[in-house]
Parts: sequence; structure tokens; C-alpha cells
Amino acid sequence: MHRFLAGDELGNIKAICYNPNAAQGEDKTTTTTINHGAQHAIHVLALGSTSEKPQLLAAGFSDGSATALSLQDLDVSEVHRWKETRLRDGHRYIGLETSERGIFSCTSNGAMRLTSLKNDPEPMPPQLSALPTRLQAWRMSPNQESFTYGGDEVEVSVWDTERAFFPRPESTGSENKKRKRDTLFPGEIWRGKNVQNDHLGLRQPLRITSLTYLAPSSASHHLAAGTELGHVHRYDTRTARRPVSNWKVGKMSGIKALEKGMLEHELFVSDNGNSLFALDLRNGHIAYGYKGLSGAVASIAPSPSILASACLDRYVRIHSTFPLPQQAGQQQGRKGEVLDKVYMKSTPTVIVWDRAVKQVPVAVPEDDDVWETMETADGNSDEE
Amino acid sequence: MSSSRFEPSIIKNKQKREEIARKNRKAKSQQKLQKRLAQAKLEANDPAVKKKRLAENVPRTLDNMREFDPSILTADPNAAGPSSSQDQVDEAAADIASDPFASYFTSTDDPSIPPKVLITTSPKASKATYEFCDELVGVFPGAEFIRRKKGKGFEMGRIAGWAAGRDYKHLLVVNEDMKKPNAITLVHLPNGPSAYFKLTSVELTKQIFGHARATPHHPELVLNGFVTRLGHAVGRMFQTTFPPLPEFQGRQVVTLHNQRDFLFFRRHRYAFRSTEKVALQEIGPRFTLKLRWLKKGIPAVLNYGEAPKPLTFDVDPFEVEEKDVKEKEPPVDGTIDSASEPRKPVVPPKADEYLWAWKPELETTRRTFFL
Repeated sequence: MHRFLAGDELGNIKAICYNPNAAQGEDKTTTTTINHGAQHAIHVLALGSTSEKPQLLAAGFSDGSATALSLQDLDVSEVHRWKETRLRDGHRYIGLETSERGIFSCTSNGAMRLTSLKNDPEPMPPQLSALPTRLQAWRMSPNQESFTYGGDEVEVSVWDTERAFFPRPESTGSENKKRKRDTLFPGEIWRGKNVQNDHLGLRQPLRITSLTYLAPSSASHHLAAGTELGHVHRYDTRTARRPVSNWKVGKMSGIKALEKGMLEHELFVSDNGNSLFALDLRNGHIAYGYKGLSGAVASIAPSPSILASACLDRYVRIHSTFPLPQQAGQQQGRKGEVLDKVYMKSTPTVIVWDRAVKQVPVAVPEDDDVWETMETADGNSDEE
Repeated sequence: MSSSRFEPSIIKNKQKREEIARKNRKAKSQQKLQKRLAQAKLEANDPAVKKKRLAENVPRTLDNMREFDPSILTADPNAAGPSSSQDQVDEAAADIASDPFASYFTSTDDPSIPPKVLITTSPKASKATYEFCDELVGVFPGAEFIRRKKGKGFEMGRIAGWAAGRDYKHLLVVNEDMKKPNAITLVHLPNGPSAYFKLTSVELTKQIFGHARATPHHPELVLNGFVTRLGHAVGRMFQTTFPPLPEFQGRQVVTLHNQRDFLFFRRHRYAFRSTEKVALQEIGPRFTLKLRWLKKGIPAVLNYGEAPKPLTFDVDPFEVEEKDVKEKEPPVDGTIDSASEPRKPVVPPKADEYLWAWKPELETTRRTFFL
């Protein structure tokens, strides 16, 4: 039994339960609306860790409001509701993350915010920070020490979570222009650099559309970024500012969503057309693609052994995943396929896995030490 | 007939073979005729038998063997028990009520004012395409044809943004290939969606034998056979190109009939010959459309060569919440100001998002249809 939570364009939150062992004639997938919205589309959805009960669920809406809910099985109750007043017209939420300190949110015009949920003795004011505008992707690292963003002519950049909220000194403005372009902001740890000019010597436009952490640790950050030209960039903050690899993946158009799989070297990539691929991070080859998708996949939610995707053709699909070959370039044994699809009455915009593992024998990387071991494995493969 | 059937084909003599074959054929057709006559006699006496025969003898077509698709807005006829609850029906209705075309159905404007439709062609069009465009201008009451401008900077997205700023509700671009119109892109303004249709079997009015003459009356609209949510989106898109209130004295009907995902466009005039009899006369043009893709917004303009913008900050890092609210308040107070101030220009997006795109692998069987 796997459970996913999906937000849609009408602001509803739905629980999607997939039970592979359902009896003959019964639906394998059941959907339940757990929270009815008020006509504003959900743009971001985040779920707290499973260790605490009830689980914390946060959602950001198109009108700038956001809500924190406590989730106990299928019952939700509102904990806190707030509104991002700095959200401008034509901008939207691009990132949301729950943590022990509160809920981090970020909008595409760079309004970052830490909303505290502690109410004793009196409600804490939210902490605010400003990031550059024209953002399209924002992600927090799994250990929550840093976050990263990228966007339209905005380089991929890694920031320290603590220091991002410190007051910043007023910039003097008298520095050398060329230097100023490369100097990091206070709180910024690392900033990427655009790919080299193409073979005609022309500058490549920089349009980051999606981002994900690959193997996080405090020392260095491995990131994957999707671009509007259909490329997937892999960044290693220790090695270089430019992407360490640049793969052309998108067939019809740019990359829309990017998510690291639960298995090793696995990256799920969807484009603005109608394809969803599993990518091998060792060589950037497409291990397998999923068939039967007719719209762009807006959001991907990997879980151990299966994957859920929210598609603009109003379907949520459950996919199977299979481990990549032992060595890069070998033949892929079994290819993933669409196990089930459920029609959602309104377009799903975002989907997340509830991180609860029930009757699944596969071990789940959940804690930081598991991430650490994964990091070393990745480091070995880099040295080869 | 016995199993050891005598086949005339084993006869070697041609004359004899033909004679026998002819005889057999004649006997067979006579037998069939007798059977029919007997049946007709029986049914003349008892009309219930005829009714029963017609009810039982339904031909199996691809259309009526269509595979059930959960996006069809009616319940599954084969499903056991009432599965769709009131809650789900409400949600489907709310979804339709919040789609991009909803403003057409809820607006309080004069329903006899036709929505403005801008018709243009792909660059460097030829005569056949212009003739087809002329016909289209006659079909849509609010249509206006503008020649596609030459040179750079006239991408579809930019034209769409320009048209949206001038109160056009639709942009229709006729694409041509091999000097013949081969596709239509219909863009709903100002915020999409845009649909691309393959265009085939074009017959202009003058090629239709015995056609009627069109009048400038607002036609009535018949949208046939759109059942899925995607079909409804397409149907509603066409509906919004016509004024909500037809001029019934014109007796003109525009039909868009969906059969197996092909959209047949026809235009007729009807006449009441007597209280029972209605006559139809085709006006034209005639053409067939097939949906190839549907995109979320207006067409994108991929300006890869534009100068990179520097990093800028849009928001203040340490705004106090209270001050923010106050800053937001003035526009709420001055609603009159916001109404009179010029509208924001519609900027085409930088990337297309496909809501639906056809690809061969989607048609798993010949009984799968999408509209």
C-alpha cells in the first residue's frame, strides 16, 4: 500500500492510495479528497517527516495564501494559515518545505519566508528573506542546511539556510562592475555558471526550470537542473562552477520536472511535451521511458519501488521502477511501465509521497546517515 | 447446405462452369428475396416483430464499441453500481466552471455581439489558403482577416499577445503546406489554451453542388459527440468563437460533428416546408479537423538570442508584515482607478506546456478515442 497526496487546480488535496494486491474487480487505486479548496490552484505541497504524529502537511495556493495542516490518516485539521503579501501578479509559489523550525516557502519573485508554527507563548513573527526575482525552481536540501534556486537568467545557486535570513548590509555599489556580477550575496555559498558558448560561439540562454539535490552532504552539493532547452545539467559544487555534465534529454521541448529516484543513479525527468524518462546519472542515457502519457508531467513523486506522476491531461499515474544495470551502458533488464492511472476531475498540479512505508520490504533511505552512505558510493563512481 | 458442397470452380469447362455459377447465384438471390418478402409480410401483420428485430440487430461499429475512458463525463455504462457520488459530480462541474472559457458563459455583455476572431495565415501563403480564409471570415460573425506580415518578429505568440491587447477573443492561423491549407491553429485569447488541428477534405462553397448563399446572420451552433473532458474543452473553444445569441431569422446552422475524433465542419440553411417536413441546404465550406495537440497558454516565443538580464531583486528582504498589508490596500480602495488604467500587455510565455498531444502509441486499439 502506497499513499500519495496530490494538489489540484481547484485547491483540493487528495489522497491517492495504491494497493498492488487489490482483489480482482476492485480498483487498485483509490482517491479520497481530504481537503476541499477554494478555487485557488495549489502550486506547492510539502509533507513533514513521518516520525511525528500527526504529520504536517503544507500547501501554497495561487493567490499567495498558504496553509499548514495536520494530517492523521485521512483527517486533516488546519494548524495555521498565512498569506505571502510580497507575491506579485504573475508570480507564483515555487517551493515549500517543512522543518522543525517551521515552514519555508519561496515564490518566483524571490520572496522567501520561514513561517513558525510555534504558538507558545505568543505567535512568532515570520522570518523574511529576499532572493533574486525570475526564479523558476527552488529546492531545500534533505538535511535542510542549504537550499538552491535557479530560473530565467538566474544561475543555479546554493545558499546557507541560516545565513539567508540574516540582515544584509546595504551594498556600496562602487565596486567594479565585472567583479560585482560574480560576487556572492551574503549567505550564498556557491553560484553556478552558464555552459560554454556553442560551436558558433553564441551564448546559450540560461533558463533553469527545475532543480533537485542528488547526493547532499555538508561538504559539497550534487545538483541536477533541467533547462528550457531540454538539457539536464549536473552540478558538483566541489568541482566546478560550470555543469560537470550536460545531457540533451527533452524530446519535444524543455524539462518540466526533475526528481531523484530512490534507487541509485536514477533520475526521473519529464518534459513539457508528453514524456517521462528514467535517466541513468552515470552516463546521462535514458534507461527507459514510460508509455501512454498524453500531457506534460507536472510533478513526479518517487517512492520505493513505485513512482507517481501528476499529468496535465488530468491523470495521476502509478509507474513501476526497476534498478538500473550494474554498470553504466549495459542493457537495461526490465523497463518501467504504467501500472495504473486514475482520472482526476480537475487537473492535478503537484504530487508528493507521504513517506510512510507499509508492507514494503525495501529499505528506505530516510535518515541523514543513509544519505551519507549514498554520498560515498556516488563519490566512488566519480573517481572511476 | 451439406458439408460436401459442390463448387462450380472445380468444373474445367468454362462455359459449363459459368452457367452453373450463374444459376447458383440466381437461386441464392431468389432465396434471399423470398425470405425478405416473407419477413415483410410477417412484420406488416405484427409491428412488434419489426421493432424487436431492429432493436436486436444493431451493427457493431468502432464508435459503439468504444472503450470506456474515465474522462468521459458520463458514468461508465458497464460499471457495477452507482460509483460516481454527488461529490465527484460537483467537482467535475466546478472544474468546467473554472476553465478558461468560463467567462464567455458567465459574462453579462450583450449576447448578440460576436466575439472578435483574428484570422491569418502562415507566412508566405498562397491562393488556396487565402480563398479558404475568405470562407472562414464568412463563417465566424466577428472574424477579421489580416495578412500575415513578412519579416521577423511576427511569431504566433507575439501576434496572439498583440491581438489579446486589442480585445480579440480568438486567433485562427491557417497553415499551408504544398500550397494547400493543411492545418489550423486556434488560440483562445488572452490566456490560452491553443489547439492545433490537422485540416483535410476542404471543399469551398463554390465547389459544393447546389449550395445556398450565406447571409451575414449569426448562425446557430450544433456541437455533436464531444463526450470526454478534452472533447468538452475543444467544443467549448469552438463555442466561444460564435456569439452566444444566434439570429434565428437567418436559419443558418454551423455544425461541428465529432465522430471517431474527426471533427466534421458543415454549414446549412434549414427551411420548414410543412409542419412535419424540414429541408436542409448546405451552404459550405466543408472541412474536417483532427486534434493534434492542445497547449496550455498562447504559443510560446522562444527568443533564445535575447540579451541576458542581470540578477535583480524584486522584493525587499525585511518588510514588516503590517506595512505590506497597508501597501496592498490603496489599490483596493481605488477600484475606479484600477478599472480605468490600461490593461497589462499579454506577454507570450517562453515555453509551451502540452495539455494533450497525440502520438501513435496512445491509440492502443482502434476503439480508443479521445474527444
